[in-house]
Amino acid sequence: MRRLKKALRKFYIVFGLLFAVLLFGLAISTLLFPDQEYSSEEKRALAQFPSFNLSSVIDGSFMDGMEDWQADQFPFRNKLMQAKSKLSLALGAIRSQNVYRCSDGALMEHFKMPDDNTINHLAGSLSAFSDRYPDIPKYFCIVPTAISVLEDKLPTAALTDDQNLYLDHLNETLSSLGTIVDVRDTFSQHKNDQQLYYFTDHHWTTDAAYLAWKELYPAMNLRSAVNYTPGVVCNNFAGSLLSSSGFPIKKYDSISIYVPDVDPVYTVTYENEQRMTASVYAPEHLTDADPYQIFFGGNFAKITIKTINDNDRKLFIFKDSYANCLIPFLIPDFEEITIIDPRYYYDDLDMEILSSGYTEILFLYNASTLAADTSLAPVLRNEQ
Amino acid sequence: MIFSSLTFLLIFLPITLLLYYLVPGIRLKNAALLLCSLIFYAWGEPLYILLMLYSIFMNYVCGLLMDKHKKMRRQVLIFGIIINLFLLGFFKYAGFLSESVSGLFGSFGVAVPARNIALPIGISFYTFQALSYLIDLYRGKFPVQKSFVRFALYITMFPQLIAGPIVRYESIAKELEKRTISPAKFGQGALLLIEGLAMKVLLANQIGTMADELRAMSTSLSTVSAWLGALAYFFQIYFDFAGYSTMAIGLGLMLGFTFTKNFDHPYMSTSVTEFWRRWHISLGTWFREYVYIPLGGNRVGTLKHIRNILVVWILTGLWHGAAWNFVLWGLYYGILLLLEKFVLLRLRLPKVIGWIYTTILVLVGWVIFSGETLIQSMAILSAMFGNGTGFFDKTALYYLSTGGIILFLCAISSTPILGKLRGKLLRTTAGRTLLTLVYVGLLALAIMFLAVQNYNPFLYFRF
Repeated sequence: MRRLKKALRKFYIVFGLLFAVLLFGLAISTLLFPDQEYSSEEKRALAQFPSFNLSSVIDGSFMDGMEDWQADQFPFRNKLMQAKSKLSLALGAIRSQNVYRCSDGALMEHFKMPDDNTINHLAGSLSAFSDRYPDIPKYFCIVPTAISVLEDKLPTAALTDDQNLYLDHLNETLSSLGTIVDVRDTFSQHKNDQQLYYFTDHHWTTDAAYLAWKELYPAMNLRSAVNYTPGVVCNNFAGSLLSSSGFPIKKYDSISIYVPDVDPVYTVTYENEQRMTASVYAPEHLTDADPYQIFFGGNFAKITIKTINDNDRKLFIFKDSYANCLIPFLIPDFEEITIIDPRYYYDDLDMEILSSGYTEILFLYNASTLAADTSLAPVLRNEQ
Repeated sequence: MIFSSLTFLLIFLPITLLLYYLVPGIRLKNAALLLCSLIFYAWGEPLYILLMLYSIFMNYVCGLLMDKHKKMRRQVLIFGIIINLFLLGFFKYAGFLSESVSGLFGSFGVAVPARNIALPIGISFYTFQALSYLIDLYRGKFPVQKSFVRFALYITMFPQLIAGPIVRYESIAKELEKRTISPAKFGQGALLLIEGLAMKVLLANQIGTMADELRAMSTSLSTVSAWLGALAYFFQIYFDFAGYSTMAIGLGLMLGFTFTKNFDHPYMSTSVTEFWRRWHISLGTWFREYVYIPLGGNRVGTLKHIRNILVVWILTGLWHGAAWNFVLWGLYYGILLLLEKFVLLRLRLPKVIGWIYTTILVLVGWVIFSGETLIQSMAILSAMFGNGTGFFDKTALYYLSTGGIILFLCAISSTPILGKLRGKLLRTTAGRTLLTLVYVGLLALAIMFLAVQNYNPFLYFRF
């Protein structure tokens, strides 16, 4: 008994010593570890050491900032993140944040059905907008996301709201305001022989956008006779779902662009940035954190494309990032295309539309973004 | 600041320990610990620290006055109790009271302006500690504390400051003046700290996501989903709360203080009465000492006895938060305890039956407790007892398949099995080596989880 007591004492002392060494070692190494500005894996700026002054202490932002700084600048944070997600997978997780992981490694973003108020508010805003411009034809192309089209790939236990219900409801409401272009049929026909969505990213592939363009073609009465050949421009694309979920990667994606047989001639103007280019592609982004930004270099409040066509067709587009890889297909058919991303747009919409003589308006969104969107309705109501 | 944060573990704790161990003598150690504890509190409540300082000063002076003017002891005590309860009442219950009055009498044109006062963290804990000091001083259980530093240290000592245990002055008075600080105690404390941290970060936080998500679906739950959600919260609140208490006890040991056990495997209880002897022991003791017994306890007529129990339990409910959920929850336990006292315990039911009914009643209790509103709690309860959207659904399948293993780990950890295993391992050299590895592993895992996960909520903001 006495021997055990002595051994226990020794054990506690040794453990205490070990604990102190670990604690101080870790504390010092986290302090000494160099801070990073940006995480390419998580695709976001990392928290920096918070500013220390009387007001930041009193309102507590210094303290909150401290914890964020410590977590964000933790040594080997990415390795830890991967280890944690492997552990979670082993414990039965199939979802991380809002991302499901299918057995083939494909990642899909969860769909959340918005409540009736949100849907009605959006529909009301669209209809009020439509009443102001009754003479301009409108087209609605709301694209389903991977979780809906590829639902059969999801783990059995996955829980997600029914996007088809949402799209049915929305399309029915919008059908009195304009032409509905529903791509769901063509997507389900092609989902087995083509990759319509990236494995690691929430966007659709250019192949899927091409299919959607084929649907828009007759609906919008497009006439261009351009043929396209797809070509891979990037084959190590690790998309946003990979970073937001932290799930281990199974395979990288590749990004294609469709090369036309006749090159259209046009200029692209980024209005707020006051910048002009001669191409919708920004290949410098292929080596960036987000290679999907090869299309237009990302999302901007307002972009204008002017072509050498002389057909008086002027298209106005409300869109999210899904549209970025589809818009190139539309260029040959219009004299001018103005693209608004309501998430960044704060100007007077009515002024814009009244002054420019648009002949067509297209709403191009994916169902998930639209369902969660809070920026389109205020822009449509011209609440700046 | 909360224990399960990187700021606490990797900045506050190392600096505090270094300072505490480097300064010589008990007086300086007390002063250093007081300073660190004030910073600890101010970190989370940069403004309300003034309120706490006021409370400390007021109670300290009351103690001195009671000692100096023996004839006025009673008046000073009553004054002190009133001020303490007023501060607690104002900062914790004013909003609830005005809302309830407006709600009840609103139709008669009575409207009390509702105030949105943020609850100062830990006020329920430190007010109760201060009250225990004043009352026991009045009872002559110990001499007055003349040193402001020691008294302030008793109230603010960071291990127990914001989530308990509620340390009675009596149990710690001697250690404020003289305590042994030893490497062995430090190691023992470190083991408990890691154990508590693992309970909080590896179990409570993990199962908490499931509890939150299922609770949010209260109106569309199947029977199985409703039970899963209730079970998830059942484990979350236990591992969260007991985890904090275990960390507090461990930290206390590292600093040379001995706090008594606050949780003793409550989910093994075979009666509700036993559950409350094992759950948040320091709170139960407090109410027994300062409310139940002064009201006459069980040494009065049956009717008064019943009254005493109900009063104590409604107050216990209210202590947990200013909302009707908590009142109902307290009353629920009052009634259950009466039922056991007068009927169930006299039947001498088999232990298994006792365990089953106790567990179910406690589960139901937590549903009442955890609802954001009474309506939400009732919706979940009605789903649990057959009035849901069917018996089984996809939601249930999802949470069973993704949360099954964690639920199982929680269940195992809430039994004494792991404690017994640790006891056995401590007996052999190989066992101790294994334990060292396990505890270091748990610490590493917990810190890893804290570094990568943003889900780390603090549940006691309403206490």
